[in-house]
Amino acid sequence: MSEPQLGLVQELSSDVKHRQRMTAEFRKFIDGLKEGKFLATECKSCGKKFMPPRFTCPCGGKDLEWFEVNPEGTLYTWSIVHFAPEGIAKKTNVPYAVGVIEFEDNLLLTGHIKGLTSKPKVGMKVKIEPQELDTGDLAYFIKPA
Amino acid sequence: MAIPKVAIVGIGHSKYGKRGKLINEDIEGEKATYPAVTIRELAHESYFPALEHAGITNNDIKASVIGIAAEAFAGQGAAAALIADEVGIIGKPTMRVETACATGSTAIRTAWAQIASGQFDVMAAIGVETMTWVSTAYATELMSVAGDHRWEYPYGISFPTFYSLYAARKMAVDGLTRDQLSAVSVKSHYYGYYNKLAHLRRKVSIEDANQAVPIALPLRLYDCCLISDGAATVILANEEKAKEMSSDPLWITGLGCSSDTMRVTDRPNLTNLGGSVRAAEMAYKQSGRSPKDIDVAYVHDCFSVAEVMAYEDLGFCERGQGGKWAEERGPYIDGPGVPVNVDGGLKSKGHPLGATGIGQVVDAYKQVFGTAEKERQVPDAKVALCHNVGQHGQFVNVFILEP
Repeated sequence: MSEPQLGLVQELSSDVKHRQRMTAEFRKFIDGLKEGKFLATECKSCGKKFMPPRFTCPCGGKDLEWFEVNPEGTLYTWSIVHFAPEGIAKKTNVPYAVGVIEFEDNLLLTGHIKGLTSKPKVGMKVKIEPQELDTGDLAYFIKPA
Repeated sequence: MAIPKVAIVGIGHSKYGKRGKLINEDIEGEKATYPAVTIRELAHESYFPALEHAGITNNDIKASVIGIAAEAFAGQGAAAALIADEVGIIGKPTMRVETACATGSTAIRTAWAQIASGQFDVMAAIGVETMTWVSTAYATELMSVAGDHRWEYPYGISFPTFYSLYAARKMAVDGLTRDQLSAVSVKSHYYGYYNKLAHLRRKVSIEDANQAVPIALPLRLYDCCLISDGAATVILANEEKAKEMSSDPLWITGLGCSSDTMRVTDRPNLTNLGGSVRAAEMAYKQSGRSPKDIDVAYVHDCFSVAEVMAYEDLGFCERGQGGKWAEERGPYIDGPGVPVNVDGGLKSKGHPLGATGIGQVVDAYKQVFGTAEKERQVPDAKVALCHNVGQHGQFVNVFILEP
């Protein structure tokens, strides 16, 4: 098998939509994406911040406040996937790159990496961008900054 | 604080492998044949030898716990009922437990608790899984859906991908190298080659491992454990019964367990598994043992990087030095440290999910009583440690076992 080609990740699918059709609270995150915003939550009891947003805090707090995260950060870690799970393989060509972006306040988020022109490197500057897919679904991608 | 005395008094272990088809094995002229089986016969293959080893009959077994991680693999719902019926433990309490890849050790922990509470005196913990009935893509799917279905699975995070996220981070932070990861796989295959019950009895070189096909980079084929069919059984007994029925009881002196966050991004770092650290601390404290007392260890090497983290998390080497320790032959029998996975580990012996944690304890029993194949027998092994991880640390069990 040849070495991975980079930047060939295809767009995700209705699987995302299926799993995003959830709750009123989660809808708020989706609405944020529509406006190009990445929303996280902060517990008003203990001050802990959550990305992905949580709607209850392990401290017991149920009053969490939304705030917008700066979409620029660094690549915390990465992988280039050559064998996809069956449900993903139907929608996405391999190889594809996934990574974790680190925002300010040490907040981390997992996503696909798009637009790589060289091997991903821990610590490289990246940003996260929302995107509407052909299917009408919303997704977000990690891209080199 | 010492825990209630419960012992392993009987062991049984099927051949691991692709058991849907006849296996003809020929290793250096030593031939063996294993028939094609289903989940039923696999259970027989581990259970009846365990019963015989304990010197008892089904009349003595008061209850059972069955470890099966994903019924979808075998296509059998209520699978605990089927397995208990198949081996003839009928009309007695049974249950299925599931903690992903730590299912086997959780079956032991559950049986232990039912004995320690005084409810039953002798029990069977049976772990069985058939994984090769389905396509590799579907098997990958079944394991991937264990990722957070809202925040992880949709991004194609397969199970190897989770551990590759650890590997890439550990390479950047701790200086873990490709050669060090390969050194782990070479060691696993070296010992697995001599284990008659192992799935893939093949020695590999550093070059083989370095150049193998990519699965989820940085991890390649030889960084990843096998998808296997197999079964393992232990018979457990309380102190009175164990002393009565067995001349060689193996006591569970430490039984640590822990968990961790669901999402990989909620962890404080991606260079170790906090669940392993916490479970090991608990087991060491209960048994009064420390890492330097361990003579032989079984660690959850679903991926080479997982074994490297286990060396550190269990205290066999300094934090961040796991890769170096592997390269310096720390985990070899004739090496400077604790011999690790001398059965071949998940990498070479195989990883039939529900059986794995029980299979570790079965091999620990052999090592402690000196009945393993001579090429992989640790001389004078007395204190064994078994470490079984579900997912990437969401479930962890650590056992300390002593004669």
